[in-house]
Amino acid sequence: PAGRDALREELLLSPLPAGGLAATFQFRTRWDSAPQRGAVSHYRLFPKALGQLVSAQGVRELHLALTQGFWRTRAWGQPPLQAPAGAELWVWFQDTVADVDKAWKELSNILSGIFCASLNFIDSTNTVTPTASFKPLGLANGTDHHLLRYAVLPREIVCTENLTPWKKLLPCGSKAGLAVLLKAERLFHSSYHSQAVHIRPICRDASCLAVSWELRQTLTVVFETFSSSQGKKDWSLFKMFSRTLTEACPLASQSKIYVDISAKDKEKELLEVTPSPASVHEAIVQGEKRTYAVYDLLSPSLFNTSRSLNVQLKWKRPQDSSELSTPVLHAQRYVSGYGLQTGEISTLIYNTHPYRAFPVILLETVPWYLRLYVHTLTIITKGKENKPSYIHYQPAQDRRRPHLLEMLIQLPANSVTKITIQFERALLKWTEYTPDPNHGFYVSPSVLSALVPSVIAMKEVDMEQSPLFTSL
Amino acid sequence: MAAAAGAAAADEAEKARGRRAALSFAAIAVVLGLPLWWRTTETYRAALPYADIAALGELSFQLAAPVAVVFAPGSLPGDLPRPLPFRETQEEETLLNPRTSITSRYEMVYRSTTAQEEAALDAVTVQEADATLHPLQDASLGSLTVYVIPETSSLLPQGISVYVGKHRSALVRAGEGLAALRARLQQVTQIMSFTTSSITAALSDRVPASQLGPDARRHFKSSLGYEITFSLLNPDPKSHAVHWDIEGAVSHYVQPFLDKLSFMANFSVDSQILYYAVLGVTPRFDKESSSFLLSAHSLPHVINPVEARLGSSAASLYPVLNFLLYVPERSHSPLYIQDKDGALVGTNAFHSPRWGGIMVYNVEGPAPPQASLPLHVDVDMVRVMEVFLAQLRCTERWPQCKAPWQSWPRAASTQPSRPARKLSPPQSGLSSTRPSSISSTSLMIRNLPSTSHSSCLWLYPSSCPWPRSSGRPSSARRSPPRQTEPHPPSALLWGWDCPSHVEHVVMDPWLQPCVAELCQSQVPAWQLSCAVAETQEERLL
Repeated sequence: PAGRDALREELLLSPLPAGGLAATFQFRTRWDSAPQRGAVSHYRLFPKALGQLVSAQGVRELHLALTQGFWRTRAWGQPPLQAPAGAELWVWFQDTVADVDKAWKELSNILSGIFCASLNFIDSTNTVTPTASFKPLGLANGTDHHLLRYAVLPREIVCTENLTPWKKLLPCGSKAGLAVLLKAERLFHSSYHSQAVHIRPICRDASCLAVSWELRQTLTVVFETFSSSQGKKDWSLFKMFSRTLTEACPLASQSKIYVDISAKDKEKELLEVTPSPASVHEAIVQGEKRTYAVYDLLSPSLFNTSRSLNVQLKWKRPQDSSELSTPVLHAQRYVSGYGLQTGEISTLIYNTHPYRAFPVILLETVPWYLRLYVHTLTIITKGKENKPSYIHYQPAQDRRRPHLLEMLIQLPANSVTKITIQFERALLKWTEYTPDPNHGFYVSPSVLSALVPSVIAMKEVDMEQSPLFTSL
Repeated sequence: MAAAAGAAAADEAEKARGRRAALSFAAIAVVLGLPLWWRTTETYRAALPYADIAALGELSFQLAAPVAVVFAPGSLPGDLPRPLPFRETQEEETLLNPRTSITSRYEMVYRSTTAQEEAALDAVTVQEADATLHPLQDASLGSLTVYVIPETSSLLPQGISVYVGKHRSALVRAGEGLAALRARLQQVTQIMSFTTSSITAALSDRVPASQLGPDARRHFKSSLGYEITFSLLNPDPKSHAVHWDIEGAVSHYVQPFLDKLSFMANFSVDSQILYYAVLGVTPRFDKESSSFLLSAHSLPHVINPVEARLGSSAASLYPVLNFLLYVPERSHSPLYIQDKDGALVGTNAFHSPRWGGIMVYNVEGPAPPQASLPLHVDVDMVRVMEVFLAQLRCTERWPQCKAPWQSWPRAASTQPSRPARKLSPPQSGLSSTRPSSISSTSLMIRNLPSTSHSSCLWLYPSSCPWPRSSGRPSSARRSPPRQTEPHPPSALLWGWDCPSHVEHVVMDPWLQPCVAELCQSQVPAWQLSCAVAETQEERLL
């Protein structure tokens, strides 16, 4: 028979500078098969629902993220995985697909059913075809951007109903392995919760003679203590998830926990981790050397002393603010103006690198009922106008298409760039108002694609930085 | 005084006039106004052609089968009405209800053997004769050929007077006279073709329910496509590492069967493995056999919890048939299914119509206590596929069931004199584009490997290696689960004492009366061969 499916699961615990803790789960299932449409398909670890979807709709890559909350980049540092608040779906289709829009519509409806999310609201009024911002993250022959579709539903809320089908896609479910920790009552009591599904084709092995499908399910959650805890910032698995680990998933070929214990200052260690880790792993992440304590759930010695594993982190000494590292690139976006007639969308992009400048592609998607006036677009850096080297603008059509604005902007070193554009609100018919319109209308988040100069090593483990692009 | 009288008279006249006026008003209101009001306030009724609609409900079904009766030398009965060759037509009309009638029409051609056929009939064994005779037969659609051999011929073993061959032919001993021969011929043609009761069962939707047996009510509307999913449920991956070669099994056993049925519907096959999927029912521990038992009345509760994990198809809208193979946990091994009488079901499987089936696969033997977990288990796909294919046939009751009549209106040997109007247009279009030169009857009896097993099943079921157990948990009727034990193949070719076996056989109920009456005829024992390749049988056994 063709190769075996493989499952690898990882959990990364990174303490945040402000005292919180970010936990990132990653489950990778590799399916050694090249599915053709209409053929018999046999699934072992790869979930049948997604496999059938991918082969029936001719999908080459699929990325779906459901997020609740904002990642506060300035306080927490660069996130391991990025996703905008709400639901984000972007898909590369195979070039054999004849009608991409029809496949996109069916795909979003089927995903809506699989994940119990209102992805069926994705239609032509919030779907765009970006030209430069996205590149395929898996193996690809060529990139015809007509095969790409991108949509964001900023109003979408994530809750237990979305977590349960997400967990059902895992081979071990939530019965064994790291997924045991995923209990809804604790996961949603957090400052940030993001769950994502990524499907892409990868090389089966180093020689890349065969192609496999990789399903990557990631879940990032940030726990913060609030002032009520009086500065006690000790964390443990039980405190975070109200569960401890008792066994690894029998189907997994790798099951590890990484705890970030890197310290700025080598002499003074920041964190104490119990039980003591079996090994320590060092890696360069985002230009910095980081040290990770490794717990391997598949090694038999781990559960010798006690039946369950409860990783505990204790702060040895308080952190001083000088140790907070500001990320090289971060951005902010807000709407200014008053009244219900006009307004202005402002995007601030910060480049904090002391001497390196780098280009950034900004993708903005604005709903059609906020009529942008492109002649009011201004890009100001350090007080001077900054002309973008590439602009792609697709104006909106009422009730059919949103605005699409893509710009390639050079960010000088150590600068703030402000991009503003004015808009006017259109009159909506009374059936077009969203539920609870006094809550406001959401503008989709913009996507920043950047070649950040501090080089990130491509690692096959969970430091999964896609090395070229980060999206905000 | 005169003025007063005159005034009174005028009053009277006035009153009379008034009365007349009132009456005429009333009369006009009733005569003109009432119909006007009625016509203007009645609801609109479209004019329908009631006569045509009533005529739609009529169906007179005509079953025509050309039969060639070939007399070998020495087998000619003395009292033939005419010299050979001659033709005869037997017609029989059955009226199911005032609108539906079935006409069975057998066109019999009596002739004598040609030289090649004589040579073929000189073969040593009847199988050889059958094989040699096959190319010499009339290849027209739906035709049957019956070879009559002398009473004393040694071609058929002693005591056997009828042999039904593989290729729509039969060998019959001549019998004592024409009457006996005719009786045998009629029975043979009915066995190889359709009996009135089978057609009645097929047209069950037109016939009042009281006329049919309980199983005939399992009528269904077939769909344009089916998705068949085989799932392996492993609730205990720590103890059992189960491997099944599903790709090979599907391409070996299931795909050929589905290819033959591909003219009827689109099929797609999938498989998956589900871990930590438990049955919703806790089995009972039985001390005597030190095994766990699932009783028949807890079977309906098994399907629902499992179905949540199975998921529905993301790719198509066709109905899904699920076939599950459950490997019980180490702590609940071995696990057996009990029928309602308390006996263990031979195949350890049960099915639910239109949903699929579940089979419990026990890991062989107790593992030595020092064996390292997980135990490696290789599933015996042959055993599993046998059961699944039988269940596949049972759940959708293919193909010698109602479906043929609904979906193959152009079967050559059976022509309804009015096209079956039950078909939705795509389906009739579907059947007309499929090669209809294959007659439905020949397909069912001859070409399908597993249904030829089922022809074994219905013709000679007590020895057929198709165990079939069915508890119908989700059907509304309380029909008993049917099981049978597989018999060794050596019992295949020999006759059985008829009536005692009739109750035990597992067969479609519309055949039961047919076999019963055959058994009660003068024919002491029947030898019927399964229309299946021996190699296929041996492989599956």
